[in-house]
Amino acid sequence: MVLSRFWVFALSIVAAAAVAAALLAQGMVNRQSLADLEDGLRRDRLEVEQTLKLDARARLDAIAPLAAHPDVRSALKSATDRRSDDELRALNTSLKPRLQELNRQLLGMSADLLFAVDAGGVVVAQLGPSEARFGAGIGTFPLVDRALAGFVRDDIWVYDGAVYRMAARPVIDAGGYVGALVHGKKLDEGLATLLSRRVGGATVGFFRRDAMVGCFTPLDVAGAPTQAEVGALLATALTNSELAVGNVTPPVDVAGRGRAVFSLVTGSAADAQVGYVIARPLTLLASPMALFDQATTEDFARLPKGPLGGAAFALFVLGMTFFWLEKDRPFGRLRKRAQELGARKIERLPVADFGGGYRRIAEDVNAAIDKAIEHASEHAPRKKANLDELLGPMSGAQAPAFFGFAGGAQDADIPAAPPPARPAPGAAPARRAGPAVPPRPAGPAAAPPPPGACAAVTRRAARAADGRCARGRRAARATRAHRAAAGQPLHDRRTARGERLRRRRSRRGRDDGRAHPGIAAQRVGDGPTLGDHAGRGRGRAPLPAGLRGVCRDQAAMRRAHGGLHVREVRADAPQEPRADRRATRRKGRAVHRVHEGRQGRPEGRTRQGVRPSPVEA
Amino acid sequence: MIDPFHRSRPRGASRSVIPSALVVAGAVAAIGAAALPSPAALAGDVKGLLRAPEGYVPTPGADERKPFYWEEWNGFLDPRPRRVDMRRDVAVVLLGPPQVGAESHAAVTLTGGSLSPATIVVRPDTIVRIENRDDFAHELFAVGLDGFSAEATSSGQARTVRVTQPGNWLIRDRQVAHVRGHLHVIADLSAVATVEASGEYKFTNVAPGQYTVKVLHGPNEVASATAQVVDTRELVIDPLVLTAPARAAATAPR
Repeated sequence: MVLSRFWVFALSIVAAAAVAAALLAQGMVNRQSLADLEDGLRRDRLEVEQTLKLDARARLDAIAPLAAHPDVRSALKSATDRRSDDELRALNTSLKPRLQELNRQLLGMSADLLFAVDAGGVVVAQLGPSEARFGAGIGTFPLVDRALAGFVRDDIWVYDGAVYRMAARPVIDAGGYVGALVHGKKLDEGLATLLSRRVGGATVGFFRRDAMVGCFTPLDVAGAPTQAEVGALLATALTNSELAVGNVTPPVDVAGRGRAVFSLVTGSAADAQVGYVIARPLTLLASPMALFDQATTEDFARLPKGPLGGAAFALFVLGMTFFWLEKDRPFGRLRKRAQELGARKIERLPVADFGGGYRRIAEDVNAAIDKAIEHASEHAPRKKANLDELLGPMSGAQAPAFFGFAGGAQDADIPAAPPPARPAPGAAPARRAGPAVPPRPAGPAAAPPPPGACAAVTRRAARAADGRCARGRRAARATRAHRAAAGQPLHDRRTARGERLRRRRSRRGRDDGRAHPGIAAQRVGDGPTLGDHAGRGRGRAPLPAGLRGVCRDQAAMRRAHGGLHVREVRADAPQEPRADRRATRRKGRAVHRVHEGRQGRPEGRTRQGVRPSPVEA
Repeated sequence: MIDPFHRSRPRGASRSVIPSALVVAGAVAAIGAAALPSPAALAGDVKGLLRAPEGYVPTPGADERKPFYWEEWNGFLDPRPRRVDMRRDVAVVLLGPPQVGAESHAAVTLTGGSLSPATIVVRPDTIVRIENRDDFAHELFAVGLDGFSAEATSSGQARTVRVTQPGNWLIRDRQVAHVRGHLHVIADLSAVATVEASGEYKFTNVAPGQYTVKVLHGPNEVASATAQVVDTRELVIDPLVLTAPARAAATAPR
């Protein structure tokens, strides 16, 4: 699972990096947006200034025809040269309608406030909301003063409570300055609209001290600051030191969703704190996902969809390959082996076929199988031994119908029993003739003994079963032959050592059902049987030096060797630990006790699952 | 009751002597007072002439924020040079011993869109009356002077301000932005001259003594001279040439 884990780790790293990049991108985009907005406001301010300058120039040019009009010139000439106020009244009456007519001809540049003053600054005629008192003068206004001096000039006035964009031109007649024409356009929402459209999407408003005198908020711009929002900032903006010296203020936050700059107008009205404000909405990313909202359809269209999809698919295939290699394939193998195990095609799971966790699973399954077999063999109901079944039908020569002397036969007719023959050394012991056995009562036919039923017999059992159980006979014969050949007392007894070693090997993963070097199989009936604890028990035959007996998988061995009990003899086996030897001795004694009926186990069952001989049963 | 005094002198004689004596004493006092020279009778006039050299009125510097986008010559007729309205912009004052019977009131008008005079010089504890003769409202205030705060003055109305603290303050208008004025409060102010548009000025009834003539233009002292008034003869001071002050070093008179 190394590759899969690495793949998941790599994906986690990539995901974390992607999230970090998105978060960083959010901050960077927000900072960049703010910087762009502030730069945009500065550019907007320059644009507004240039627009106001061009507007002033346009108004100056627009009133040039009025200043050069003969009626205006003659009227102002007469007013300058007047000798009485009555003449001034008459000139006012005649000049005012003429000014109205000329003002209408200006169309879009028509004045909201128009003065015609003589050379002394006295108002001869006026158009506007509040007409000047007769004889009043405006000659001290810098705009008028400079116009009377022969200059064309613009200004912004606060006049009668309103703010006007002013322009003035001198009126020349007869080689001298006879007066001036002063033109005013109100500073209102119309100009704010013009400026907003000129700068593109910005909120533009004019203020006089802490009150807005005209503002335009573009409707097609989402989140554009409103007049109320920028008006609420006036009190703070007017205290700005930069504004006081005539500069633009730094960008001011507008309710957390925009920025605005404030500046005073260019004109004498700046002393009355008349200025303008430019505001734009600030769009910040609330979350990294908002980055996608900023993308347009063109952005999505420009995405390299093919390479992106291919890369994603390749990564998916790579990840799935890792998972298949490290999870699906061994899992399938385990499942297949488990199916074979269920179908009894194999007895145990081949541990070497698996790796990692699956190997441990296989080992656990094998251990569970072993335990189940052991448990089943211990608790399986055993059929009561039937000697007839075990011994099989008797032949006619060896099965007398009765025991006795039939037909009144004399003792002389009965031949004397031959002396017992001593078996030759190395030869198989001959079957001893047993004592006469009374005829058995008729019973059911004896069933053949199950394979391995006579896996182990004690010496006593072997003697008892001699001549009756084929397997027992063979075992007994082999044992006796071996011991007779060795000159040792008969000893044929199983111990728990073989089983313990087999279990130990199974835990080590070496017991995979295959043959191992250094282990030889030996049929019990084919040669001498070597008890693993032989030579260490009480009066038992010792094993040759360097040989230790190991009890292998009996079931497999029985299948492999035709149902004969097999014991393995392993050469060069390591010395059994001392604790194991003690345990072995204890178990051996226990087996002895069981076989001798001194232990409270059910009859016919031993710790090792060895069935006692039929005689004992 | 017995009155021995009245009994000793005849009643009618005493009544006729006392009023006669009082009348005679009064007549003598009146004749004596008329014979002594009064302060006004001892005072003389002081007059002079102000001259503004060419280029006295400074043009806005390049570093100053111009209150316009465009200001250019019309291209047909030579422009008029900048001029100083002596009557409106300049104040000539006499500093020295206080004059007897000096007025404690000053009158200022708002006309033509500006203060007249724009340079106001008064003594402490003087009441300044500002009258608006324009067609629009004004809202004058003195920068930094308590008691002269912004107060709207409608057309034809007037307001009064009592100034007590010596000093020099700028007067501005919240309604008409271009309005400028300067208020000078001088403790040893003897007299304020009347200035004509031609630059002539005149002090009347100046008591004999040593005086200093100062010319104030806005916050600045642009000319000064000394005058020794000895008798009732008219004293003519040499013409005073106005000197444009440095822009950043405007000095206020004490």
